[in-house]
Amino acid sequence: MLKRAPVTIAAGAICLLLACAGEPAAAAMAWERSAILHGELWRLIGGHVVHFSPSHAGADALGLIAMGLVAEPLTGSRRFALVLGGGALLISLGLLALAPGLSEYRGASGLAVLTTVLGGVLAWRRYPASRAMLACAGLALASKTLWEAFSDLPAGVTVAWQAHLLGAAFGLCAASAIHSSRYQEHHA
Amino acid sequence: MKRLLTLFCVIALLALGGCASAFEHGGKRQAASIVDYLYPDAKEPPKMAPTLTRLRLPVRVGIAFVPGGGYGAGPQEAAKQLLLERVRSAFTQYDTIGSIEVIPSAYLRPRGGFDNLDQVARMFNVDVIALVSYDQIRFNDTNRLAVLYWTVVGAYLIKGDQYDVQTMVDAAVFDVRSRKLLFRAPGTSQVKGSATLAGYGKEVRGAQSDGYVQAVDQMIPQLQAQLAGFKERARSDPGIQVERSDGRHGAGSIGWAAALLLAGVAWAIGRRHA
Repeated sequence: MLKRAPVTIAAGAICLLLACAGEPAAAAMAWERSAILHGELWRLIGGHVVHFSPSHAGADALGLIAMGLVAEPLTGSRRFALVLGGGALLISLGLLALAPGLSEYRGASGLAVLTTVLGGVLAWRRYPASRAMLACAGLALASKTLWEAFSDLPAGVTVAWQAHLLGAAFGLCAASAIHSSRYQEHHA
Repeated sequence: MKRLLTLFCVIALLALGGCASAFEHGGKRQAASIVDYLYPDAKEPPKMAPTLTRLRLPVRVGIAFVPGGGYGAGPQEAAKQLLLERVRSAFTQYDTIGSIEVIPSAYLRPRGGFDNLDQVARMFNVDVIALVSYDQIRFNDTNRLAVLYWTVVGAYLIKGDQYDVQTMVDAAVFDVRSRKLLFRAPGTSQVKGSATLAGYGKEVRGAQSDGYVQAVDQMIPQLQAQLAGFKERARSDPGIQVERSDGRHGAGSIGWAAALLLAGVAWAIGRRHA
């Protein structure tokens, strides 16, 4: 599994390790609007690998690793790492611009949704036999907000749906870019 | 008879001189220093680490008089509370200030340092504390009319004693967590007057109280101006972070149900196309 998707496993492991590191580490890396605007730019990436609770980190890491195991072999590790890094940056910048009321954000779900859309679209094209299952999963994910009420988040913390939307949009763009580059390579 | 009269006059003069000398002439000082309170044993200048000051709005503020040295130093506790209430009422309209707690002097230990400040901040659940230090000097003099005190009646009717009470108060606002001085504002006053020998003590106590009231009244607008200046400074100072605590905290959470679903999908794809 490590050979098949090293970037995915590394990203999931970082999330889990930082969840064990405790609140000071999480607070130092979380996406915080005022801190970023004061120049703490590492938070643009750091916010995607720290969480509010170990349970929160566990769920996000599982989602990220699961769909990363689908997406990474289909894109290639280097390209996948670029997509993840670029996606983290763009989601963070998107939150700065589109969610002015958001003061703090933590979680890998933006990246998990990105990976899910990327892996889903690529798997849809590559494995026609799995399309029915992918469609069902897509529908289930679209209605997942019903389940968000049961997520283990502390009081006063809400799910930042903007991050999921941005992740999905970037995953879709990445999937079409990868698909078109492969198409060009194939017909060259 | 003549000798007896002379002896009476001498005794009367000595007695009146004794009365007059029973009152303090020259001056008296009441002071509570913020440096003595926060840095009680400092022999070297305190080392300031470049720490980030984080303020979450609306800020919870505590306000207290710096404890003075010993009994009778400074205004009485009830007077202190009234003075601090005046400051509190002047800052209630600010939306950046959530609450202002008036902290009684009994909670602050003389020469307690930042450790004591931390304890008090936790006890009263405040982020920022405004410490009010004071320095009051009272000068006493007699004027020419004091010579009439020897008539005994003059001690009750003639204002032969003069006083001059000079007061300085200074509010220093500290962020408790970073131990950083955010801003400070002073207030001064001078109260002059004269009194009879018999009513001197009462008059001077009143003048001292008035001195504190006037100094605090002068300090309040300066404190408001400093607060406005601090707000401007905080926007450009990289060492100060200000954020609203009612801002949303967002979690990027897909939830366990969705995560398990994704794990199932990945497992199924892997199994079919391995």
